[in-house]
Amino acid sequence: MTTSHGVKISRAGYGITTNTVEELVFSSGYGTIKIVKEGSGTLVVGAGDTETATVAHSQSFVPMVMVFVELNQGTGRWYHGMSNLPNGATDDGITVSSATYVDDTNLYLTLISSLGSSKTISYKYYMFGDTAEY
Amino acid sequence: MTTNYGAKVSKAGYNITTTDPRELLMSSGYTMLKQHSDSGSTIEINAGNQEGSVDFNHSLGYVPAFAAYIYGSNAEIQQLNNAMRLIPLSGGYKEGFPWVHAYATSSKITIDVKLPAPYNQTTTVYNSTDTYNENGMLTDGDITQWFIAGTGSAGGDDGSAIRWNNIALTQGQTITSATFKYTNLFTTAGCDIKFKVYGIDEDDTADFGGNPMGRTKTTEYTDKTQSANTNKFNFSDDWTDICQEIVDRGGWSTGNAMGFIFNNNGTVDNSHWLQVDVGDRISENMELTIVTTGSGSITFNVRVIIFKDKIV
Repeated sequence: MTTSHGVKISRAGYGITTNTVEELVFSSGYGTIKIVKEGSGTLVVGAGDTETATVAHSQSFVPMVMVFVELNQGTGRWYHGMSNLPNGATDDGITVSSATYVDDTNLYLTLISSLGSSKTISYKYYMFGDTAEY
Repeated sequence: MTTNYGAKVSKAGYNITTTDPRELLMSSGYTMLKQHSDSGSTIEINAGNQEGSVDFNHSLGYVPAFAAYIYGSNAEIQQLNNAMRLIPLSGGYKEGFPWVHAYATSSKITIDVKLPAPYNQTTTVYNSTDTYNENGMLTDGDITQWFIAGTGSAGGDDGSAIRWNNIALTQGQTITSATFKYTNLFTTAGCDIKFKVYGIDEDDTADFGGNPMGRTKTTEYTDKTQSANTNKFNFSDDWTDICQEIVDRGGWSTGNAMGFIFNNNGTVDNSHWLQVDVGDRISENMELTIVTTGSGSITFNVRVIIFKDKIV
């Protein structure tokens, strides 16, 4: 006998028997992105310097992350990701290099500035309850 | 009394009491990104342009988290497609790749694409050794510096001419820009050098084995005043209209030669715009850069998923 059991929640206007995943809000047949930690902060890097913000993730695995950054505080423009930020093309000639990575313990946000003066950015991160490792 | 309640759904094969989030499909102990909208659009960059962008309005009233994807449909942007990563995909690190930026504000998500160079635009730099100068400065019987334009001590006009061959323009082809550059020049002291630059109004002007100064000139010209500068300087001029007039001639064809004449235009006596040195170094110090623009456009397909979750 074939058994079929689980939990499904369909979107408004769609039948629960749908086989189209986009029509479901939730299905126990598919994993979800669970936010295990989120937070925000600022990162200050001196002229021509490199600075790293380190955030402990407290997971037993290397989690997936999502990061947004406001390159110029107060502009309200939040860029997706912190790898390969715009290099002078936008946002008042910001010239920075950057990297985001995660290891067994922490999330690292690194900012490398070639500016002649100190630079402060704001960041927001989400850490998810699934591993980034394949 | 400590309360502990909520909803959990574990993955098949895992116990519901697990504390490892990887083993759970969902848990009321963890929030999830909640989708606000999912929409797509395109960014089209026409030939000659380098940048494009698209906005996705969200009306949330705050800056939301989002995910964005970008991909293309032809070989040129397949590189981007292959990456298939959340943007920004590349910054200045990947020479030749488009820059893609995505950012959120309290009213919209914006995706910007900047190509490494204007789309379908060709820039060709021409160098030449074919020059003619009416006069020069004699030092111990040898000409050590050529006069490009100016007036001699006796009041005579001094001019010069330059010629490039093998110009890769078809008859009537639209020229986006034609820029002439002369480097390492200087003038005599004290007076402005006034001159005009004309094209030689011929389909395929012959080499300068003879004096070319009397050849028919174009209607288009540039009227220049070079302030006195006894130090080395660089000179550039926009010759787009002049070049266009020559290329628009009915007898012009690809590979023909194009010439230009510098005529003095009222410079006071005994003042000159000088070349630094003579011989082959003249050609090393001048170039003509012609930019042409093709047709068509490049299209990027973008998709943005906006979440209800607030960044700020």
